[in-house]
Amino acid sequence: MIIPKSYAFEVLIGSTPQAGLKLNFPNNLGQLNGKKIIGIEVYSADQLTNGVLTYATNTSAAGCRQAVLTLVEGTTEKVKEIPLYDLIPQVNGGLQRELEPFICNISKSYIKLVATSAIVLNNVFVVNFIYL
Amino acid sequence: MKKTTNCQTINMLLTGQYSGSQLGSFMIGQDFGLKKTDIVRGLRIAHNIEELTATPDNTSGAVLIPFAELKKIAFNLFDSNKNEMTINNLPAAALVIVGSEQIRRSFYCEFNQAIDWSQSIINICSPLTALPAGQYYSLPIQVYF
Repeated sequence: MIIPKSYAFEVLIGSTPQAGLKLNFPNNLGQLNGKKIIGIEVYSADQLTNGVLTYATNTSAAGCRQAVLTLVEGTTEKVKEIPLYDLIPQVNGGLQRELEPFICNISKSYIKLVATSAIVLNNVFVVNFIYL
Repeated sequence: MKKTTNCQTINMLLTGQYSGSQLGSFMIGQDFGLKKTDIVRGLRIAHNIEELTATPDNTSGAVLIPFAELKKIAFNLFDSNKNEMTINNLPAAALVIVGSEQIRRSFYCEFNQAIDWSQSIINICSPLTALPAGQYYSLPIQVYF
């Protein structure tokens, strides 16, 4: 997949980890507002040790197995509960998950924890949007 | 994927400003002799164990950056044709293709844009392991046109 533009950002584990906890995407990604998302990746600590914005510790691959991701278009959960681990290019043959282009409601999109043994408070997940 | 027509390897020397406790975003500030309007089709970094065990730069005494240090780096790439930072916070490890850290099932990380390296940014997300005084990390990047 040719990357036209991309933006990697952090999703902070800002509350005590527990199953079912929803971690909303940050609401200050102005660069992505109104842009059509065409692909998505996640990077674990095996690819990037720390987040770029806050330098908080990135979550391990094991931690990525304990979370799912949902992308919202408008008010519709368009891409629902994809295992975060499945979006790490290294572990799925180098493939980036391609999406039918859509405008993502970023502040309503979220990562949900399904287990917590490898999740650490104040660590981050790193998500990369590929967009037009 | 198009056939390779031209490949230039640029070599970033990560000097003392990036070592020790330094975190942050630093403008790369040099063009490595490349034209900022030429369309780049791909970027690739050789894995330091599987592909290239020493730096091609044999004049500066630099040490080829190991993968463990590469994981602490991300890039913002500036497209001079669009006058925009089009690639933001891309992990350097995402440009490593082969080896146990295989990231992408392609020859290189694919792009189709101009890159102005002098206005692009290197992000140090975690302190690089300090080297002896006067020694640098070498980060060679293959740039495919």
